[in-house]
Amino acid sequence: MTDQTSFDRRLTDLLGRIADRVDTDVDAMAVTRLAATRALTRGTVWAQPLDMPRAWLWAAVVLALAAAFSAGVLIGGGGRSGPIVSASPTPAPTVLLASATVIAHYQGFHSGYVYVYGDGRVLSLNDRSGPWVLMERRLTPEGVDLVRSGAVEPSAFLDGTTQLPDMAWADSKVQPFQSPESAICFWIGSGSPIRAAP
Amino acid sequence: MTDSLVRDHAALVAVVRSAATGDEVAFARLVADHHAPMLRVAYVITDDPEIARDAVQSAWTRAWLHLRSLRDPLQIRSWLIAIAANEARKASGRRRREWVVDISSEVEIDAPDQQGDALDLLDLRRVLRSLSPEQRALIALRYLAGLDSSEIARHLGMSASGVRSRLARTLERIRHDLDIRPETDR
Repeated sequence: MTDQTSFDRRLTDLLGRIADRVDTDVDAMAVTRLAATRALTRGTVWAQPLDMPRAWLWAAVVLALAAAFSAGVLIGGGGRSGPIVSASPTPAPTVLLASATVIAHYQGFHSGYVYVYGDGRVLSLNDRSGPWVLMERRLTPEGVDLVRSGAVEPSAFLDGTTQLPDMAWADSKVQPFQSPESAICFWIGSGSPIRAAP
Repeated sequence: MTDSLVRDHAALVAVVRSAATGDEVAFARLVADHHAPMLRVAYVITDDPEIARDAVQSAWTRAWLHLRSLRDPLQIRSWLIAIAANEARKASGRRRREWVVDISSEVEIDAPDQQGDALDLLDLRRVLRSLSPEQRALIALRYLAGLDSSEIARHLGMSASGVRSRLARTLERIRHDLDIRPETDR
C-alpha cells in the first residue's frame, strides 16, 4: 500500500475479504413475503393508522390549528392587518388526492413536526423556535426520491440541517403554507379516525 | 450495445416493473440477484452479521414500498445498495454496545506469506470501527459496491463534489491510521 492507486486496489481487496465473512445465502421468497408483510404495517399515514398513539393527537392539533386559522381568517379576518394563513371558500374534496399522500413524517414533542408529500411539498412547524405557523417548501421528484429511500430523514427539514443538492429543491425558500382548500374536521376519540365533515 | 445486453436490459426493466406492481415472484428475483451485495455492504458498515441482516430486511421493506418511484429501472442495483447502506448506517448509529473484536478468524494463517494480509485485515477492521457510520457507508459504497461519486451522490442526497471531498478526507484518515506513507513502504 504505497501509492494512491495501489492503496485503492488494496482497500477494495481487503473490504471484499471482510465482506466475505458474512453468509449471504438467502431464501428470496421468504425475504419478499416478510418485506410485503412489514410494508402493510408501514404504509403512508393516510392509508394506515399512525404507529404512535400520540400521532393522532399531533394530527388533531394540526387540523385543529388549520381549521382555527381558516375560521379566524373567514370570521375575523377584517380585524387583522393580513391573514396568517389564507383560506379559500372552496370546500375540500372528501376523497383524498394522490398528491396528498404523506411519504414520510416526523413528530417530536416540543420539537415540531414535518410532513413530506408525494408531490414534493414539505410542510413543517418548528415547535422549538417557531415561527408557530405551518411552513412550506417544495422538493423536486429527485428530492422526493431521497426522502423515500431514507437518505434524508424528515426530521432534518425541521432543524435546518438539510443540505440537499440544488437538484433536490423545486423551491427551497421557506414560506408560510397557504392552503388552497379548507375543511372542518372532527375527531370523536381514541381509535377513531379524523374525518372531514361532509 | 450488443443484442444480448439490450435483451438483458429489457429483461431487467420488465422484472423491476413487475416487482413494482406487487408481483412477488419478480420481487423475489430481485432479492435473489441483489441480496448478497446489499448484505456485504451492510456488514462492512455495521460489523455485525445479525444487525446487517436486519438492516437489509428493512431495506427490502423500503424497496417494496417505494419501488414504483424508481424512474430508471436500470439503476436498481445502485438504488438497492444505497438503501441497504442507509439502513445499515442508521442501525449502526442506534447501536450502543461496545465493539467486541473477534480476531480468531483473522489470525488463522495457513501460510507464512499470509501473515501480512491478516495483519492488514485486522488493522483495517480496527480503523473502520473508528470511523463514523456515515464514513463507513461512503467507503463501502465506493470501494466494495463500486459505485462512483455521482451514483453515491444521487442516492445519498449529496453533491458529487461533496462525496469526493468526504471520501478523500476519510481515505486520508485511513491512510494515517494505518500509518501508510505515500512514498515509502511500511
